[in-house]
Amino acid sequence: MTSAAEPRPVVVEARCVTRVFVADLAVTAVDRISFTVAPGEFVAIEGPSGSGKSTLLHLLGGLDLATTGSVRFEGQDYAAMDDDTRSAVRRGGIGLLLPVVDLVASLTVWENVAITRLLGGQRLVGGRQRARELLDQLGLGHRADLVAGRLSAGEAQRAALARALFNRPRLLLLDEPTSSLDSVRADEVLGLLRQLADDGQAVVMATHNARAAAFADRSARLCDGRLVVP
Amino acid sequence: MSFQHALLGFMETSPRHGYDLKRAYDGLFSEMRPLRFSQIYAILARLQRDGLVEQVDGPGGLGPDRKTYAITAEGVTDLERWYDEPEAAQSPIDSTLFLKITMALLSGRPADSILERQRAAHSARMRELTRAKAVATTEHERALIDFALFHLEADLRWMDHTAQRLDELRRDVGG
Repeated sequence: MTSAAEPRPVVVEARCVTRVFVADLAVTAVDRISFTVAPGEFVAIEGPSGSGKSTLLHLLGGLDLATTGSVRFEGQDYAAMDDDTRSAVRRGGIGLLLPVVDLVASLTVWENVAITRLLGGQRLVGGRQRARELLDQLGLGHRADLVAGRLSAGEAQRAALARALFNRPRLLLLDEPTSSLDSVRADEVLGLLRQLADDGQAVVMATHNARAAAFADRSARLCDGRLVVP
Repeated sequence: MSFQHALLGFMETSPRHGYDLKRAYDGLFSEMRPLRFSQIYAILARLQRDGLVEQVDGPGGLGPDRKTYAITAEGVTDLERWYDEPEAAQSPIDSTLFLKITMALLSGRPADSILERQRAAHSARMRELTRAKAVATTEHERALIDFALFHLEADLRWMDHTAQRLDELRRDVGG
């Protein structure tokens, strides 16, 4: 049992994070947000389009750096890492699913799922079984040997989720993971995410779908880049 | 909710006495709206008066349950008509919430924070229902929970939509 004095384990922590994009005008996409996610927690980031959900997700994954404030993954500040270290940390510990699914059309579905092995200097074939297991879990086992270019949008989204799960990431970051799925298939995918969190993975999902958000333990709601406290 | 047609529907499959009807109803719909014995007997009396059910010989039950009822041809016709006619597409909007937001705007109160608190309450209920759905044991139970979830989601979408138009709405209602 964890004693009250013991610090709560944290997978990712944002401390008073602000991200300003400067073009013709300065736009504050994320404004002084503090946010932590523990292992086994499933958190939904909700809010209307343009509220800063995707920017926050990118900051949590080290894909983008905060203008002020800090984001730490397992205690390490992204801003203190060089690009290569940040990429290695992401590859080793973070699964990402972005709204634009970027499968390699000429590779098979299972090869796409296992593709992070190539980045780690390993052969794809060693990941075949793991890739197939994930595809089975997501109802895509029968498509494993098809070239990815032949998948429907919903299938491609599930294959990309399988790819995000391939390395058993401690933190899973998902941007609208069910946007291309019908409600029945979406419920299956969300049920799987719930299960992963119950098994100890930290899951953060940006969504504007209230039914999807209801699978999470809690919601952080954004409006104009700020957290809304009801 | 049409208790009358639910009872007629049960009697269409076989003659029933009051206890039978109560058990059949509770098995499928008690989560939606409870139906008391007294209501069942009142409905049966009305159906009998209107010629939609009749008393028949049967095993009967104890006490007031000794009577067994069967659907008549008129009852079947009435039931068929009910199935054939689409239900009125009623607006299921939470009218209390609509009233509260309108009055808040009219009186100059912060409707946005009222909406935000309501949003949190709806979201909490949706999380609770989603957890219940994960441990539901029958498809019927899951379908009933989905029915509630989709309606709560519709409320939330209305709240999000309205939250972005509060200034215009305030001007409209004269607040």
